[in-house]
Amino acid sequence: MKNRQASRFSQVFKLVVIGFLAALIALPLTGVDAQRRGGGGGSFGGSRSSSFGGGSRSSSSFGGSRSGSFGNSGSTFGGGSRSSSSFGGARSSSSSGGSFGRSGSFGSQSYTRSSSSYPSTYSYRGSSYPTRYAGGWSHYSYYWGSPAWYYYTPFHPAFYYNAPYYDNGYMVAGGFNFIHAFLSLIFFVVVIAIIGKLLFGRKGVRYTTN
Amino acid sequence: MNNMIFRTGGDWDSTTLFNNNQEVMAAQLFVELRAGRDDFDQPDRGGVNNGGEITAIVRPQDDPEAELGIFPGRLEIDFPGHSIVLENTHPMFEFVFTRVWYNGWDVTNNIVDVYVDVNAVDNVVQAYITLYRAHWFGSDEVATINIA
Repeated sequence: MKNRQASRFSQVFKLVVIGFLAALIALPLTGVDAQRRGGGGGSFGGSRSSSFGGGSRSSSSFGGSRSGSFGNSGSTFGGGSRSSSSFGGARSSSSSGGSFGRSGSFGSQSYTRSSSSYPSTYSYRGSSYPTRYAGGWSHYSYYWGSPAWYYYTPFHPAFYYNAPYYDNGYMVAGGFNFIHAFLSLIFFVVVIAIIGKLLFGRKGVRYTTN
Repeated sequence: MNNMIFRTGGDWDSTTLFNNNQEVMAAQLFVELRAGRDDFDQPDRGGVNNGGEITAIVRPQDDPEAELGIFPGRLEIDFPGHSIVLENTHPMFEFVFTRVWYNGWDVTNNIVDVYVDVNAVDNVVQAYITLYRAHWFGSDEVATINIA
């Protein structure tokens, strides 16, 4: 009975260890996703509110020149003066300058989606510098601007890239970090060996005599 | 309850056996413990928890045919360079309450064999201990340490 309990405990312990390792792998990826989602939410509504309705439509269009034409003394409604500068004339011109869907209008500077995977600026020692993308996956280099704890683990891609460096007014993405790659290779070999040991158990017994 | 101490310097003149600080004139001290085995009687991790059996007796010099039990109690066996302590204080001498130390290390959970036979009549001295050493990497080891 005792042996069975010990065996069951051993199996549960193995499952817990494997689950913990799986959680370690999954956790940093979840953190990256959350960070990207957070960035998208921050841009919503910023420039959009300033462009929408910012034109002169309400102040100078409707009724501005109209008041001059309508009801003039001696002239009837719809006379010659009306055709030149009366109802709707000035209104149409001013409306087009700040209206919906035209130049400088609603939607021109608001971002709902971005395909860029690297930041346009990089903060370094309190100053903000424009970035220059070096291609490939090197945009992970810019993650070192505000590193999270899991960037220092081999589970996150930023671990494999150096921090950006300054070059002619730009912060250029750092290169591939081969030392970290080598260390992580050793790390994963050890982790896989441990998991293999847990899953497949003993590999025979050798007898020694001293 | 017995508290026996066996000591030897490597020859008969330096060999002594005490029980509760009283010297015992003995013809033989015999201890055999078997533990740490799986269902196929092969060595396995677990030690005493896996179950097993133990025999521990002293044959007095004046009556060599008699067998005096040592447990419940404690037995300390000191050879040059080696020390084994066996303890079982359970009133009914239940096996799983046995504890074993080797050179100060508690080996209760990885003991496989303890064998001590000191027979003055037949001039036989034989002693060894076998431990199960589990390794994370590589094969586990069943190590037999010859004591005498």
